[in-house]
Amino acid sequence: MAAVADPAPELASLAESPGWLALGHYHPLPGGGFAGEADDPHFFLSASGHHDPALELEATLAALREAGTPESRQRLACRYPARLDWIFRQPELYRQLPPGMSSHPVCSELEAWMNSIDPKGVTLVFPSAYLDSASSMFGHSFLRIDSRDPKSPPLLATTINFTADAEKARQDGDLFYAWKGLTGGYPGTFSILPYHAQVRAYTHMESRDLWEYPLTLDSRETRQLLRHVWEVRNVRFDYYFMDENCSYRTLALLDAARPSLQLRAAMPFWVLPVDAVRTVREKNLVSSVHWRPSSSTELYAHARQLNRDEQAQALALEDGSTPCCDENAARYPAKVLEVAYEALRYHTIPLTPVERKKTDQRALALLTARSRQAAGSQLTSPTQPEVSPDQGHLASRFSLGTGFQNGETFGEIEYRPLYHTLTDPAAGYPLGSAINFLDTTLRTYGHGDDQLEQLEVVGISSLNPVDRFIQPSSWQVRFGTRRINLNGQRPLLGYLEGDWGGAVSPAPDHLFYAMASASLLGGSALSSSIDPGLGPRAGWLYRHLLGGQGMFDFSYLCYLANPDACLGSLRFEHTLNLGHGNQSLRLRAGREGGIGSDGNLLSLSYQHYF
Amino acid sequence: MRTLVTSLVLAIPLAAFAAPPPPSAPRTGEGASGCGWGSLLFDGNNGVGAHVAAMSTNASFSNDMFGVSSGTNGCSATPVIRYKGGRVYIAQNMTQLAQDIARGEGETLAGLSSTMGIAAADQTRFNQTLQQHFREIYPDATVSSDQVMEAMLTVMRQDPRLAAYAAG
Repeated sequence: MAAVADPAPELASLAESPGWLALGHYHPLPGGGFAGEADDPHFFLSASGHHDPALELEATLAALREAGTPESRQRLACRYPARLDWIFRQPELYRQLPPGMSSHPVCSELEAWMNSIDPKGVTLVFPSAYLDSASSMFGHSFLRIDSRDPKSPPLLATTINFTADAEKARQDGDLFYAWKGLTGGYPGTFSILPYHAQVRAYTHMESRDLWEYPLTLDSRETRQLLRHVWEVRNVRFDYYFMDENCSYRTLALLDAARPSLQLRAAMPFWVLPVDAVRTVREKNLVSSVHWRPSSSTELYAHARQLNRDEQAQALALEDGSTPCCDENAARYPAKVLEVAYEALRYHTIPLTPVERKKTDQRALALLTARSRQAAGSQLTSPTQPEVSPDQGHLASRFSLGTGFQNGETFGEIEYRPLYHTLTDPAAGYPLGSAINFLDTTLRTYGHGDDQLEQLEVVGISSLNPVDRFIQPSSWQVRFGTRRINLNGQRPLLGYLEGDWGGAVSPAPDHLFYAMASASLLGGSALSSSIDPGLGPRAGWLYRHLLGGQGMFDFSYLCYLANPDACLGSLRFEHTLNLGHGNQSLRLRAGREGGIGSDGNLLSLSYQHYF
Repeated sequence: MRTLVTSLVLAIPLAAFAAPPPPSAPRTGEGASGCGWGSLLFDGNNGVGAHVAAMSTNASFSNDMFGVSSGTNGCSATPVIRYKGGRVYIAQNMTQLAQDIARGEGETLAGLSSTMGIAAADQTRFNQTLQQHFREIYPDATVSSDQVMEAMLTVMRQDPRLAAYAAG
């Protein structure tokens, strides 16, 4: 490494230009100066490169000047192809290079790779949320490189993916995983995969829909993106679940391709995959939206295209009660065989290979029978939802309301940073899914008291309808602190609660659920300090009714520490959607059983999403 | 009694975030790569639970695609730059390919014909021929991707128009 003098002034200003900062993954610090996000010392040529973009630029120029032989130039070009490309485009820097170096050195291995891809542009891909896993509940982001050849199938396209190291993550318990994920405890690296591998993993293995957003980056910018991927492909960036995550790193790649975008800088404190899509849309980068349904979405839709008799046939073929099918394959319509196969696959994918082997013959028999009918598939794919996830209401919510609690008037303020509750404006969000973080409600009463009404730290709902072919379970989890009616008072108690059961959806916008509910209350106001309760819960969730969506929820929990404390609770909530989707009016009414006293609630709130 | 119920009560919400069992095999091995080695006709999640698999999907996959020669497990020794070669594609798409061939259409099948360089004019014939000979290509559920490839080429060689694509 060459010794470098203090960088010249024009160098310093270039080093702080969006182009160089993007390539070095630097961001400005509030007090001045810069921090690099790459946590691998080998990414930098200068010992101070991690926090000094100017020194890093000078070191790169020095390396370029010193690369006397074609081999050394090739090595440098293979190590920092994007940096060199950028340097050669800056006239002030170009002037400082040795006279013999008229065009920038090229890495032949990289060029071969890029030519095989023949890039035209980039698509941002958003796998939708997967509530069963903490790391996937907000979705994901990765990039797909599209080829200039219009006949080249998207499934063969290259994708660039930034993720945390799975091996280490899998060995940690969940709580440790959550902690390390939040604090940068896992290394993250880029990986390259063909798109068909991603489609298979997301839509088949995990039943997640994919949303594709082709971007307006051109071929030249896409090549620069690929050069930069080559630079960072083995570089470790510590993975921070909230801010320096897959979406952030994906935006960083786009910044490297077109530095004027400054997408990273446009993101708030936390980076949600769906917000990455919104930011990219705001910068007019999105040309269209394409949806790829998951295997369960397809199965739901295909099953509905069979009449009841055909469904019964398909079910019997799937579970083997009707053996399939050699001699009489032709008596089953092709679509029945297809749905039977899809259902069998859906149920056997989660099994171990040993268990799945038992059904392999049946699966093959169904496919073989299907192959005997020459016609193409009669089943149609589900239609793309009108509203894509990024067009749904924004993630944070602020509410202002008023109402009556146990006969007393109150004013109420509520703030929830993330993400979506069951009765928030429905567009762009699946029915029955909700994630609530740090939902805080403060009230001020007519008689003068100001109090915390509730702080829900985490609340998650995953209500999934069962049908003849798929029987997923429905569950909810929540914990936090809230006020419970207790002997005429309303003390704050901690709660940890969960529900487990099933749901049905007789019509597309309606969900009825029935669950077993468990609750653990804790607090000094309880004579026993801790009180577990169990009981049933049932409800009705609806959308596209009365200008919005809402729910009825009934529960009856019997608590053990207080023998007579069976708390029946009936809640109604309706939200009217206003304006362009980021405002609503919420009506709540409910009767909540208490210990020794009951309570009534009626409230109206104006809600704003931002 | 209270302890029992309390632990039952706690189990319901925590079950949603249960700690994953240690994996028995690396997730990348099962059908994710390789030419004939470990690529089952009907693949799946290895039974470790969708929960753990989900942690993996948002986590890194095998990163061996960057021009590293994959000269092991019966794969061709030339570097796989653009995933060209039907052999690799078949290995990575066993299940979906079988489904598409049975139906005589589909995106995965289109991807295979593109990989093998089938001309647009011959596409339909390619699809139909494979569908008609499904049984020979997939005689039983234990076929390997190499066997699938070989059977496919044999079928293609028997067709005057498709034989040209099956040379070599």
